[in-house]
Amino acid sequence: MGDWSSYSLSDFLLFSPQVYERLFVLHNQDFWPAQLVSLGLGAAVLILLVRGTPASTRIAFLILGAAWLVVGGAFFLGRYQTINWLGSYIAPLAGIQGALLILLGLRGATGLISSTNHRVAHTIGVGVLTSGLLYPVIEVATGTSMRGAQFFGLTPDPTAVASLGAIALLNGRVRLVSALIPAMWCVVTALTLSTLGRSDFAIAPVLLALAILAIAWPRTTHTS
Amino acid sequence: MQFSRRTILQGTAAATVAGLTPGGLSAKTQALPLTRQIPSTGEVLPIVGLGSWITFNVGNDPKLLDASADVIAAFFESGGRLIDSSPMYGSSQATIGFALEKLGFPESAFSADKIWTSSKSEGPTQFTETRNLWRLKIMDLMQVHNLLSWRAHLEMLQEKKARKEIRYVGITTSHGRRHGDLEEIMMSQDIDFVQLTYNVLDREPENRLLPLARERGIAVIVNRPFQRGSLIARFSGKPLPKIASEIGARNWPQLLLKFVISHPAVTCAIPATTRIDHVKENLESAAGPLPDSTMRKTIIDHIAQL
Ligand SMILES: NC(=O)c1ccc[n+]([C@@H]2O[C@H](COP(=O)([O-])OP(=O)(O)OC[C@H]3O[C@@H](n4cnc5c(N)ncnc54)[C@H](OP(=O)(O)O)[C@@H]3O)[C@@H](O)[C@H]2O)c1
Repeated sequence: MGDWSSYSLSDFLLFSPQVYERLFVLHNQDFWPAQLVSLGLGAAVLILLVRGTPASTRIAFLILGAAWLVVGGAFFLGRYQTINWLGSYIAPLAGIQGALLILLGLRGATGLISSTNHRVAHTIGVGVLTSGLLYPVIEVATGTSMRGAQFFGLTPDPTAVASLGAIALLNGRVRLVSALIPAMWCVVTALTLSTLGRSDFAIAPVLLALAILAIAWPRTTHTS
Repeated sequence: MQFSRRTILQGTAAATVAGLTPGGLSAKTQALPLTRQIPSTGEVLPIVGLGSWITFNVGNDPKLLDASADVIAAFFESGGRLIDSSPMYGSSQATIGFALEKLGFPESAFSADKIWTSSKSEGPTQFTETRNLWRLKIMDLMQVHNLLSWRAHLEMLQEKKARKEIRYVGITTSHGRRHGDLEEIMMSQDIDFVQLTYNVLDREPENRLLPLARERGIAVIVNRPFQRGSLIARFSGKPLPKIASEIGARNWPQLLLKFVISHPAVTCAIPATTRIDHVKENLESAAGPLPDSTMRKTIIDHIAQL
């Protein structure tokens, strides 16, 4: 590819803003009313993690893992790949993330920080997770149409953000590994949206930054 | 390089006999675009074609697939022939195939695509996929995209040409990259086409590559005639030079395109567009008079002052 300095980000962008927005419009149309189910499951994740018992935490991570599998298959392979050949490379990564979160749930490696001992990190984690669920509302507030908005469990941005919020509540070092793929996607989406000139490009990276803060917050030995 | 209006207008007659009315499309009233000959065979091509980077990458979106087919229909109706694509351009190849089928496979269509892989063994598979996506048996032109593994792919494409699976072989670059390598390939290889970036600001090919193409009898396809639209954005609202009206350029896109196609070494410029009015306007630029070398210099000077 010769001289890389002669390339700009827009040289790597294969699609127009209109095509990208319609991708989500069509996805929403085709999956309606799955949005209601996935939002219900997302709310369940939030409630289960706030409750914070070992059993409820396990279930929450199983749901999160399943959400990634749906996003990998239905969105990256079924939809995104039709406009970006990179989709077929990203889909397996979403699959790996799904498998990782499911494994965490199955093995019970999901000890959480408590809201009393790690108040700041806990609050941020819950806040980021909630933002992932309210993603369509945030997007609409920044100029996207509700028809083209992204929903947790169906498309990558809110799924990545909600997962980061949940991962930020984890106590163990496993949180670092499990945050990698969602964090990478937040960067990819920010670059994509800013290159497309979209006003909502900052949502995912801002929430990622908050999640990183909570994930990096030092842990003590107290767990809930 | 000095060249006269006469040189530039040659091919006009060919345009009128090219018989470009595609099957299934209504007859047109718009003047036909000028044509230039492909040096290796003498076949004529309208001097403006159609690119497909970004514009036709619409996935499975039925509404946008139809909209792209409408642009392609308008392109053929205005006398256009050559459509350029690449496996790199997302679903663009499939969109073109969809449109060709919808339009009843216009006879005038000239398919130009590329091999884009660093793997030698993937080349033939990619060619087959490309041909299937275009829904064609024979591809008119296959190019090696961005010189990627060019030795292996050129050899494979030459074999396909010998077997009449493709009609022409070419190689592409863009953004002014690897012109030295391209020059060597043009000197040493038996290719029919070369594709490169040339526009009113990116004029480096005038020095060596365009003269070499004429000398070696290689057809030239020009990509990024509008620098992916940024030239249009940059100059719109600014005054056109006085000579614009003399050459029938009603606006900046037409003037910029006329500048590109007025170089006698250029066989076909391939602006991409999502809009029917733009595709018609681009073909119209190729139907009228083009700037001669004095006018070209006036355009360059005018732009330098903006
Ligand atoms: N290495 C390679 O082989 C290589 C590299 C680059 C490009 N290419 C080929 O060259 C083609 C052309 O290059 P490109 O697509 O990068 O850029 P381009 O043709 O210079 O510019 C395309 C842009 O110009 C706008 N446009 C076209 N006609 C117009 C008009 N009459 N008035 C106003 N705006 C107009 C289009 O917007 P609208 O949709 O609004 O009309 C589009 O955004 C590509 O599509 C591709 O096929 C090949």
